Amino acid sequence: MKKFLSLVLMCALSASLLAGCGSSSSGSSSAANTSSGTSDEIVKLLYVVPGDAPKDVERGLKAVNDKLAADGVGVEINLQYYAWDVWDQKINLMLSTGDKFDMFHVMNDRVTLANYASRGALADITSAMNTYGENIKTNCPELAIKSGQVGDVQYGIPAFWVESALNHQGLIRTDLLKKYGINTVPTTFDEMVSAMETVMSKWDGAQKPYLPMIGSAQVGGYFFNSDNNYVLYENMIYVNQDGTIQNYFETDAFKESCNNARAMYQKGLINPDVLTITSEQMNNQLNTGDWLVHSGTVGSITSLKANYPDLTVDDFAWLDFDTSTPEIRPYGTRNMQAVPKSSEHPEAAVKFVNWLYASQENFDLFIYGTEGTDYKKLDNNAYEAITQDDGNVGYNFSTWMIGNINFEYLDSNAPAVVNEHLYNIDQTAEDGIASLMTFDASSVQTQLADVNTQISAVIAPMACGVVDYDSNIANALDLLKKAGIDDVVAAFKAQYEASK
Amino acid sequence: MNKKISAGRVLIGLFILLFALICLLPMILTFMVSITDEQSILRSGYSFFPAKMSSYAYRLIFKGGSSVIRGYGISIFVTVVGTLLAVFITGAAAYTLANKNVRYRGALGLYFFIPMVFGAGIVPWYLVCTALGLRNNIPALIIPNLLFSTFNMFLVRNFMSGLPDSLRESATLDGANDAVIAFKIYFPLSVPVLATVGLFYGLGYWNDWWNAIMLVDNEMLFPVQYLLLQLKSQISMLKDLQQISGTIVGTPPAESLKMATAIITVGPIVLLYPFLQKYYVKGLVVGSVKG
Amino acid sequence: MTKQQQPAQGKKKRVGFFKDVVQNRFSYLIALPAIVYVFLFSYLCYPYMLLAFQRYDYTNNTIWDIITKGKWCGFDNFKFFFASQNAFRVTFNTIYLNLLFIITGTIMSVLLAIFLNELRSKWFVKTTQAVMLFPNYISWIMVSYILLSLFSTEYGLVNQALRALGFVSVNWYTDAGAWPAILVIMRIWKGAGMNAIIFLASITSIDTTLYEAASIDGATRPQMAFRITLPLIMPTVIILTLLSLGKVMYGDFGMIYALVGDNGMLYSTTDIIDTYVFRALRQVGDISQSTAIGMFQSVIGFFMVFGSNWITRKFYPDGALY
Repeated sequence: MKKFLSLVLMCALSASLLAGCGSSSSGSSSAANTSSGTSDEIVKLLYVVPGDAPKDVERGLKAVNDKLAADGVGVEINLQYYAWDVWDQKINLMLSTGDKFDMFHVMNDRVTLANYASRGALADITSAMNTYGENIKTNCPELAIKSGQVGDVQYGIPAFWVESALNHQGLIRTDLLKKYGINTVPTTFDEMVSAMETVMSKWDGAQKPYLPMIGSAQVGGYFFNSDNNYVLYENMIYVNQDGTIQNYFETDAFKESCNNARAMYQKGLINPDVLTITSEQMNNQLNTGDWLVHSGTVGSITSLKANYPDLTVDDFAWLDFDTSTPEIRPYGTRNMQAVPKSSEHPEAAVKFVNWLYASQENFDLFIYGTEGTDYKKLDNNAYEAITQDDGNVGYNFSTWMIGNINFEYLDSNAPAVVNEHLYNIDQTAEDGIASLMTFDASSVQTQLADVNTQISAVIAPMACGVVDYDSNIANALDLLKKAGIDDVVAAFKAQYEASK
Repeated sequence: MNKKISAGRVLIGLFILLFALICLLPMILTFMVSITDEQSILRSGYSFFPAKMSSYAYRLIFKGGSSVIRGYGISIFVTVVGTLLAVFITGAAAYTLANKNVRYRGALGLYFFIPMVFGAGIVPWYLVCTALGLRNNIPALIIPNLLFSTFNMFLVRNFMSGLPDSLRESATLDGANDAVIAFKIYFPLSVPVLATVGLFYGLGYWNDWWNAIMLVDNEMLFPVQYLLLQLKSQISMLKDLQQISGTIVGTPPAESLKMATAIITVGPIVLLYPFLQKYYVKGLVVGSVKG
Repeated sequence: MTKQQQPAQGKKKRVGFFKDVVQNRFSYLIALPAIVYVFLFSYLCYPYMLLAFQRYDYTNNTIWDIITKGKWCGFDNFKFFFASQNAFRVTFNTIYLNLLFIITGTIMSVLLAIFLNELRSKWFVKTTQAVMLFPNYISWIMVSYILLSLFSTEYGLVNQALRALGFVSVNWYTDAGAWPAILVIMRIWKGAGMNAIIFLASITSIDTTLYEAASIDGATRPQMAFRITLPLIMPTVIILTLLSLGKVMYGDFGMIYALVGDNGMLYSTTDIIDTYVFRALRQVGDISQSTAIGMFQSVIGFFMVFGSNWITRKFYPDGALY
């Protein structure tokens, strides 16, 4: 009888629901509760991070936890990884539904700490930092500590892993210069452009050595102008060290950038499809080594060696056309750890990071793994990762998430000049005048979105040289005004004045 | 039967052939790229005739070994069970909507239609799933997708409405109730549309990784889609990170891997439709009323 | 469980709801799983939509919290969208593109179904049908990679062909005007095969004696196709159109974000509500705001279907939704 069948179906459904109820252990998404958080009991810290777990993560964490126990910190750490593609949604979901976890990674260039804080997602760790955060404070400059604050409340534990005063500089391949008969490293912008032209015209490789660029990211134009005294905030606000704050697109710096980019574009030095290039494609180009000049930095050169077997870490020169003006730090750090409100022991996060920065040994254990199994130390503060037969390291943890410049080892496979500039604190650099403040854009949210849309539509083509400045700037500025850029600049100015 | 080959038929045949080719070529390209050496891709772009071949991407995927096999097992189980359940429930509800004796079927239709247009977002869905215990278990992969849109239900309803009412009437006279009529008479006659709907559900379940990501943390339960997504995600991030902090060695086979992932994912499902084709039988309705 | 208590429209309310359930208890019984399911996963979630009118706060996790502790803020969450200069343009693009997709998609799918029905060779039909589904299996992101290899200025196959024929290469990725057409073609390529199957299922249910009778009367195949097949699958066509109209305000985010990405030069013709909101909320945004816009899209979609369904019921009752 079919009635029987439908009954069976209903039973099956309810049975599976019940089975579901029974076994819903909610596995690793809850921190086991030793709720009172006294320092006698071991508190389990669940740290949520983007990416994928290394194969031997259990072994690596066991070593860390053993040391934590030996040092009497009272904290045991566990990691939960979520793939990049779903990171934002997953974190949002976990915060919105009160899932229990204790620490997660915040990237200011993706979603700012201020954003989370203003919606009540984060726990206040000011007192925890004061009580348990001594090593953190010693190892992070004031600027970095401030990056983790909103108002005067500490929400984030900064990861001061890289020097950020890098904006007006670039990299050039000396091996290619030599190959094409250019014997001196360019010291001015024009020399560099003519070097690029020479190389491009004589190029005998497969893909042309365009300047690696993504349309949307080039708006800042640091690389293309000679004004070295400013920092660009929110992609549109020009803040000069002398105190000027204005709409970046009205400045001479922007004009110069566009004109230089245009000249390069017309000389065939910039990819005609630059506006559609994704960061993946740009990285592909960087990895093949088919480029002469790069306005950023590169890491390990191992994949470049596949095409350029004679390449060494010394075949790169640092490009800085203005060595007299000091470099400016736009912010302290963009990476930090935050504690969600749902955590039952917020101070555990601070205790853990504090332990991490207590000694080189602690740091190495968590970041690099076990010496001899996961890595080996080399001279000059360098290290080499030991890969297993599948090409991956057994255990490691990314330095860019929780590293600190005072403890990090250098990759022996990265260009020497890159290591030198990224991982040493530039003693001559200045903190940007607006670097201590975090801009809260919620009052000008609509204008910000509209201006960003216009930037993509009419500014990016000029900034990349696809269209020329003079015939397009008037229209662009007009569109930006209509989108409300003046409101955004005014809001920024007001917040800056208030923070001084 | 008309054996002459008319010009019209030839033209139609050509049109279909052309369209089919346009659909086939990108698939072939995807496959060719998946077996191309990564450096070749980076330097010369995608091509039907790779300069250098390499099966590295596939080896990388299957290096996962037992977890990939398990992932496949989970995917297949979830797809088969899920599709059967979904087709069953959809067809049953569609019958009711098509049953002219049910006075309130219009209202019921509205009840089912509203969720198609109004959705409340991920967060409440997640809360409901958690409250029902649909976390970290197999039902979590099956149930939240059961009727991913009542769209399919309307398709079946439409089809069933087109069947003659006399079918129901004569069966009722014979003493059968609606449940019997639905499953013994209407379902067999609706096999074409049920097969179509089955195809949609099957594809949906097979390609789903969303449920896995949102509801499951236990990696023993990851379907193959999620495993591949993780692998892709990891490899492409490795590449990006190389530029930031230089921690990884080698050329991660990101481009060929993306394509290999697509091929592996598509593989089994390509077989689903041919399997269902046999249900598209004409003339089911003829003769069923005459008895 | 809450059930709608409207009487069937057009008829006098003669039979009460519970009486109907009792009379047709088996029908309602077998529909019960579906009813419960939809209730749990949709209707139970609806109170959450109240968030659209509140200042978002991560700590309000349950419905009770939302109702009692939420900070109401009227229509503020809608402001970020409607105060924007782009509101009109993205809304227009969304509707325009969706209508184009519906019209062209339907025509193409129906044509494919009818043509496939006309062919004699079984293996040819089966093979091409299976092949036509392939594009559906490839995700939009994959498609964007393939598209790039076709259309890129320097190395793209299309431009290489153009250059070989003596034409100048076109920079496809900066020409906004070409993109509605490109998007329509891509949509058809990806979905027509799949939708054709729906129509094929309908065609198989057509009584074959109709064709036999018609051919005895001397009708040609094209006549039979247009006079018999087409009208008989019309209800399906209409239902599909109505269902699509319900989603007319929801753009195909997956497709457009994958193919256009952050290329601002194409925004004027391809930016839709979903992509605009996604970008706007990416850095400064929250769930309340996305809920608000979702609600806006749903409400408009609902009225569209309501209206079209009403019209359909007047002129073509077989195809109506409810």
